[in-house]
Amino acid sequence: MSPHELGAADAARALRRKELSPVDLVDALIERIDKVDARVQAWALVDRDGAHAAAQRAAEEIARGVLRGPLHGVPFGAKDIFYSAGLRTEAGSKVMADFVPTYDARSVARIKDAGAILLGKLHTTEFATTDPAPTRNPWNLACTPGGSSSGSAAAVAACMIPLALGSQTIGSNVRPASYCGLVGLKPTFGRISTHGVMALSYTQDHVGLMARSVEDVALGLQIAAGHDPGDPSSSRAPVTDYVAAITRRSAPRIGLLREFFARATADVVRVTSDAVERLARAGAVVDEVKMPASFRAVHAAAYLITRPDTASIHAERYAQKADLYRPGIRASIELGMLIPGDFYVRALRIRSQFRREMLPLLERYDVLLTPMTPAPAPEGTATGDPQFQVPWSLSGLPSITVPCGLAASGLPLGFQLVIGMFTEARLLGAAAWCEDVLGRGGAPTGV
Amino acid sequence: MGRDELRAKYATELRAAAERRLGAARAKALEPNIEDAARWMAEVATFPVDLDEPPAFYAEPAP
Repeated sequence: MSPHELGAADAARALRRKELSPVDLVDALIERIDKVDARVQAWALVDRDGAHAAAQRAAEEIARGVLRGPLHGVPFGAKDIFYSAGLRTEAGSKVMADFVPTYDARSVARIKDAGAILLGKLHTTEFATTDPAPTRNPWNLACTPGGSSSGSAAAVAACMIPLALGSQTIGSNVRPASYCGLVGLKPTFGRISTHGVMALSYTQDHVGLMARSVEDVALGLQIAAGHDPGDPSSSRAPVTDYVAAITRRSAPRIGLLREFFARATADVVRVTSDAVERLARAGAVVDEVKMPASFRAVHAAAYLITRPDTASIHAERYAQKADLYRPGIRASIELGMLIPGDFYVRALRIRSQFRREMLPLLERYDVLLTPMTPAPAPEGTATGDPQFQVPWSLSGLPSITVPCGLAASGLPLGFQLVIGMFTEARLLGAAAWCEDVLGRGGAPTGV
Repeated sequence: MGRDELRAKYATELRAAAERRLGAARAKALEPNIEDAARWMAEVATFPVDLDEPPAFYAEPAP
């Protein structure tokens, strides 16, 4: 296996055993970027000099027996809405042209503190909404990688980086991960600090992770999770040992949410159902279950919350630079200025009711399972249909996507596992068990 | 009032607010988005939220 193909945990092990040097690993990834990124266009900025210098420091520390943390010497990437000290952070927008933050987003800082090396910034749709990034799907360059975390998904899938930070307000982390054949995690709202991440919504923004295995996502969460006084919505819930949790694998009791299957294409239903049958043959107990009544209003509530939030967050910039915004984000801001306050509050009450009505299902099953998306990645630039992610972005419940097969077109498909608040350890354990049964996602054929 | 009537009423109100606040040109550009928002508003207005249901701002407390 070439160094650029190593996952984050495998690379960290190889570095600790001195089978590989951080400098060679950074060089291998930059060589890979130089080979494929002209076609994939995942990177907004590659910090060649900074990454080299950090790799050199990491190598010297290893030689002295110093390991700063579990990702010592391992490169990672961050979506270009995450602040990165000294590195241009433009959120895919002319509004932020040449903006250089003076500090790192808390999640970026925590991963760096664990010894990792920030290799660069990954393309996003403008301000993580709908105006597309230039990025293409490594499985088929005619298709979108999904969005808004487009570059994060494409870069990990094309083996240009083993681990990436993304974000999700509606469906922007786990959907692109699934479209690109990856494992993607959207933790519980408040599990990872959003401090230093350009906001879209005060109560639906989540920092997410993408990698090529459940183990790598668990490792990333272990490092990035935890309370942060700089983020008022950041939780004080204790951080569990997620890496240890995935070693305790057993067949889960799965609640299959049929409403989602009814909205998916026949191709998606076939692939997902085949995967569920394999899980059942391996010992999972599978029941079909129904979503609660409030599911009906979840989509509307999510947008009635996020649009006014976006309008408020962008108010000052919009007042000065409205014409620099592309059409999708501009319309989101303007629509948010028009939605009456009583509808905003009613949507927040629907969120509360939906969370409460989900509890019996979450208590009865280890995990709930749905197809990840209604269809595989579409052709063109539109970032795909987020309807299967909306309930969990609205409610803050954690979800993870695990690759489960290929569509007839050859594009990857995943399913989604959902669990109760702050129980990511059990979610990752169930996902790791599914990964054992189904195997890891394959490699893309488009690059 | 049924959901479709409410949707039409909300769309009219949003159009008027857009013209007043953003001008006629932007209101026209926003027409598809206004239709979306009117549909969302009709959906939540007709959903029977429990009378004593509080708004949920942040996540539930940790277990």
